[in-house]
Amino acid sequence: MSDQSPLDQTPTEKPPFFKSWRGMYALLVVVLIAQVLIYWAITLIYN
Amino acid sequence: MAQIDWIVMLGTLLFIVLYGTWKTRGSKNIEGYLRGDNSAKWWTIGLSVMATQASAITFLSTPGQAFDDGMRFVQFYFGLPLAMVIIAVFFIPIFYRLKVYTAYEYLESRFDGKTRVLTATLFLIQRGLAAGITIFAPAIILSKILGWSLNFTIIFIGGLVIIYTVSGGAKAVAQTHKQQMAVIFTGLFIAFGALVWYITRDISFHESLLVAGNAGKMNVIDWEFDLNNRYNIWSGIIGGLFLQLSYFGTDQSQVQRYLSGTSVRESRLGLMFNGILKIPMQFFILLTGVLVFVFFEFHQPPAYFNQLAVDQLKETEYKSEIEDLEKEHTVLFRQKQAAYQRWERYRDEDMLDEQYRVEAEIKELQGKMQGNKSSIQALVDKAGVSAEGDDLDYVFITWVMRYLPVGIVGLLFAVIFSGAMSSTSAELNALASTTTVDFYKRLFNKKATDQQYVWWSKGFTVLFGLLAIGFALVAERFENLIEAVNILGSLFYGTILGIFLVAFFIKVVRNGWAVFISAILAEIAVIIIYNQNVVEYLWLNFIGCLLVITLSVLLQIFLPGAPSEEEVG
Repeated sequence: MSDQSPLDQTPTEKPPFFKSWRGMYALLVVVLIAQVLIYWAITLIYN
Repeated sequence: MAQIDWIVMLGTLLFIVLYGTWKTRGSKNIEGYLRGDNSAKWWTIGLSVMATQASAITFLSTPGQAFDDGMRFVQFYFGLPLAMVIIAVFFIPIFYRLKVYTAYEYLESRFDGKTRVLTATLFLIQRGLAAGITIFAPAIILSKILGWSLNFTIIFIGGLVIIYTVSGGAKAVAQTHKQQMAVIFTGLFIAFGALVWYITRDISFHESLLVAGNAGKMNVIDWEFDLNNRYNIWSGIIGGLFLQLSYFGTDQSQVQRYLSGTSVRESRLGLMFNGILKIPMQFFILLTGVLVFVFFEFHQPPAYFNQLAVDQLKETEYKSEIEDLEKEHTVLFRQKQAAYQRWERYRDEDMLDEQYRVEAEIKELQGKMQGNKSSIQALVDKAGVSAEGDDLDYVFITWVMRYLPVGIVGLLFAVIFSGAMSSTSAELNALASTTTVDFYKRLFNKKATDQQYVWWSKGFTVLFGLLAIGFALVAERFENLIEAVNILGSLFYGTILGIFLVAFFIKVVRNGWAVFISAILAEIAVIIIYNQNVVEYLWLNFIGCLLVITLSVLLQIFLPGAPSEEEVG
């Protein structure tokens, strides 16, 4: 197994829009957090 | 249903089946039949992964669940994006490097043959039963609405799926998933648009959400940590993460979808696609259910949505009782209508005290209508009339049948059938792959030709298709269909995930017996905990997984270490 972090494995296969897969994964987490905040706001406003 | 609706529904379904069969005909080797020749791009993988998870139950039960219980079910999916990241980082590269057909093959190279066979067996039991429910759940409702016999509906769904899944294997599954998702998205957008259009003739969209909120339906996020509360943010993120990790990382019906990609990159992007779109899609479906609730606050709903059960009840000794309850339902609805008119007026005139008083009055009337419905439910149960399925499963389809225009109704039925077929085809394909690769090839015949393995796979697909149909034909009544499938999953998923997490991350565990014994003990413990009703079912994934990991480490200490022949990962 390579010493490289699993987050950066297969460097020749980069994702679109990002320099590494870390960026893509971070995007997913940011989208999740944004959704939780939006849904929380909806709960506070309407429930 | 109008003639044009029948044409739209049957035409859509037949086109998908025939096009899928024709387009993917002639898979002659096992690579093509089980992995689709590794030709899928990320968008195909993403849609296929979503289509596999979205069963007909999603479109029948989920809006009904939101109609009754509000939006909080969306929290169930909060662990999904995190699971996608973990699978993309750790699982996919290893599966690709080993060039496996099934996830369970990896376990043999990491531990031993018996661990692989045990895990594959747990999968076959769990997924084999779930395949039956996937057909049974929608069939029971669709048969009532369409006036078909239950048996015919089950055979219709199962038969169509068997045709193209046997013919084209994994390629046919991926191909048909694209069309099925196109039908599903189109149908749902139209239904949502029509709902908003209807509602905004009475009140604004903002007001409709206030109406829903007053009835406690806009409970999207619940921060309170409570092990006995089925859906809150913690059970969604922690319990949901373990369930989704197990489902997407170790369930062959999903693993097979992303293993058909052209590369690690395409598979990863397919899962990212799912991670971004899944929660909004579920939110949107739940919101549809909530808007159906709002719609029926201003348009009189039936006292009980399963109209066939009511009709049958009227032919029994309870005729006068049900008619009295229906009259009471109408009176309560009219009182509520009057209250809403006052509510709107007070809102327009900013008379807050009066507005809050009317809101309390509306809540009280909603409670009385709920009580009225419970009385009808009690009568239905007492009379023993044919009322399979929860009445909530009939809510959305009743609205579709009564209020959507001709042609669109047929499209919405095509959506529900597509959901049933998309998940069933992936399940049959995965069950056949696992039986061929992990049992037939591994235990009985290692030297068969490619052509022979393809024929065995086709045979197993037919066999599991017939078993699923058979199980659906004898399935018992379930209180809520979607939860039944999830509960069933949670009984096995924790253990399966535990085995995989030990394999991927706990390098110190090398003895196959340590994992094998731990898995059996954990499964027994999970079933006991479930029977004793100690915690809500989502936590069973977490508990099962934790037990396997802990016991494996402990047993590794006490058992003599036996390094596996080839340590992987």
